[in-house]
Amino acid sequence: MTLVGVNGLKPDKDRIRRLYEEHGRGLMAYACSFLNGFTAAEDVLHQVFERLLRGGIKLDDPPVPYLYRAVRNASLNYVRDRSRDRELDDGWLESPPGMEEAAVVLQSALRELPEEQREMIVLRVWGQMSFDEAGATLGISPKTAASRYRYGLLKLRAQFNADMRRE
Amino acid sequence: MQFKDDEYEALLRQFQPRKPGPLRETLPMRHRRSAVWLAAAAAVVVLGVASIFIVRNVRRIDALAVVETADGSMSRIAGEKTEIVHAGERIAGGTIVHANGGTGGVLMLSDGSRVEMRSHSALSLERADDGLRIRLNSGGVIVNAAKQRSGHLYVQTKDVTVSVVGTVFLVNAEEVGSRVAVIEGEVRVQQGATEKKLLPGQQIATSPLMEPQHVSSEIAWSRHALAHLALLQEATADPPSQPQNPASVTSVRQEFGTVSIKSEYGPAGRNAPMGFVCHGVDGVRRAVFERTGATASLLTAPQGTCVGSGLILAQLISFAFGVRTSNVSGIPDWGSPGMYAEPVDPVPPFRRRDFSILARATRFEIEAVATDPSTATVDQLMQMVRSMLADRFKLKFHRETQEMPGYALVVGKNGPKLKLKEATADSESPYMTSDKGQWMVPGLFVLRGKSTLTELAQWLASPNGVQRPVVDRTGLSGVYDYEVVVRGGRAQDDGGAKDGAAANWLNPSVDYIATEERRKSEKTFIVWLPRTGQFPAVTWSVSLEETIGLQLQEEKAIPVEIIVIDSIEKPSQN
Repeated sequence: MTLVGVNGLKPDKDRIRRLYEEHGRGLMAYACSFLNGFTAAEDVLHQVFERLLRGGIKLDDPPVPYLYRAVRNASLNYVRDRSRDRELDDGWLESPPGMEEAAVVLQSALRELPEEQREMIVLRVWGQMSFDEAGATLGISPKTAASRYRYGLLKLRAQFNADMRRE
Repeated sequence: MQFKDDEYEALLRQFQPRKPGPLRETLPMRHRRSAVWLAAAAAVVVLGVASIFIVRNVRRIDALAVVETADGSMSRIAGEKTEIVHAGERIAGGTIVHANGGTGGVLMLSDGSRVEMRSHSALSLERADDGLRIRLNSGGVIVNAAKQRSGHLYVQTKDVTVSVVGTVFLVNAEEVGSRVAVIEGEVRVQQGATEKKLLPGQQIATSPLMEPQHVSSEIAWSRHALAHLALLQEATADPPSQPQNPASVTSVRQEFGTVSIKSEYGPAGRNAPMGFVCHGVDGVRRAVFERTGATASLLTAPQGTCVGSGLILAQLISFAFGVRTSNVSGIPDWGSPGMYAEPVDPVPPFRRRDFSILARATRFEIEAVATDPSTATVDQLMQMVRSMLADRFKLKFHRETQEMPGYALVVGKNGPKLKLKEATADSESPYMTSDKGQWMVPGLFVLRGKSTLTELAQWLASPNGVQRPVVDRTGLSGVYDYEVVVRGGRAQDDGGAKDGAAANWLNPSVDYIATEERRKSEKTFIVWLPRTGQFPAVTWSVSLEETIGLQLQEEKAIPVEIIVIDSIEKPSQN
């Protein structure tokens, strides 16, 4: 267990900044699996890291599962607190050249998935986690994580392909 | 072609999440202020340098105000907690006080000033260098400021600071800007580097789009309206019913330094970004996009600027005033989503169809830069957008209260089944969850909350609810802990469905199965699954009555504020 800035100790800002640089994109994608767009997800991510920079928070070792859990909680709070706000629906995926349309369709297909499958896919694909790590992050067994992932991937492929055919 | 899981993963990874912007490392002011206040309060007590009056109040209330009048709808938020406040309770510095509904309330400050809060207002109090500061987050207050011995009383909104030494005045913090009006005495209003003095009967609005109001009508909501009117008449020797001299209304404008607007006609390119984004130096971006995805990510604005591409007027006005386009009337054809017809049938969840709007509307390319991009916050940029609409589009508008059909939230036949929230528990705005994990899948939907019923009514009016005005007529004040289970099929059993579309909405499971079967044989069929925003009012009403003993009653005329465009022109080219 590593302490980052507990009760008067200064937070290890360099380490926190490094974590942000290394895992920012994956965490962004994870926040986007609960929220409706890039802007909201970026707000949430900044909230989480600002809290870390203020110190007083225990950061587990390894820290990555903690970061994902913190982003998850902050995202759900954000959804709850702003349920009456107007939707701001801006894209969060960058596409390879010439595949802009596919990125739009992919985001839409992801949104059609049940939340538990969607977050599992994001953890695995963009968070680059193993099933053990994803399971630890979500508090489920690696087996359950793998099964959610497989079902999610099946549905995603079906939805994505169907949507692309309609294009 | 079939991919294995890892190959498909690799395919997906070709699409990378956008990189978040640089990490903001500035500590929120609130935390710094807390420390400063604590230090200041400690210094006052320990050194004994304050006057007897202040010391007495600090000791007595350990804070800056006492609630003088509250009708049960006032609450406070300190840290993570929200609790109802009652008359006689003390309000500490930094605590956010909400007047949620009802008739508002009155706070008595430690300097003897009285602050009357309008319903749906929020403020907090803090010590200033030479007095007290009221931070008005939203809504309106009428302040009867006590004569200050040596300092000032301040009222601060997002864009102005009002300072007084003893007077009666009102401040409104609205979406588009702030308004200050004086009833008696004089106040100084500071916006940025500009300071103006206001006398009785005069008012100032920070946005040119806030039309002048009689001071008398601005104070009509107060429980002491008659006394304020008498003061105003005495101070101005002018019957308040007379139209006010426009010269006494001053507006401090926020304007862009440079604005470039180009217009084009017809549909936008398939991959063109369509939207508008403003980026303030406070790091906040506000944006509206017509369609999502990578195309939206192409539209970026440097700090201190606003950029629009493929933008139509309806979108711009909706963005500038923070309202739904359905609450703006008088948008001309060239600014409306021309080819778009409201779908008669339920809209499929896949939003591609929604993108097909706007084929005939005039589209604009806009680049607007603040005079000093290094200081413009996103709120100031929003004001500049409204000024741009007034200058370049010659927008003239007024706000109107229109009566629209809607619903009243009332107590059901068998009485309410509501639990009053514990005073110590946290409050929660209403929010929707589903037993299936997300909204698009048929199943049970649950609306939860710990809030006033006024807030519940507001939620029910939202796009996720009945999408019509809903007014709270339960007559129940206080904060309640509730859980409304929405059962899709129930209302149909009760004969609530009148047509085919409604029947589908009311029985999502059946619809889902049928759709899945059809889907197998018909590739082009688009699966439609009900979303929470598509439950009809009758379903909501039955669900509300079953679970918390309230129901929705149709009302033909509910007053709703809308923006009415009096005139608008296509903008002059650069």
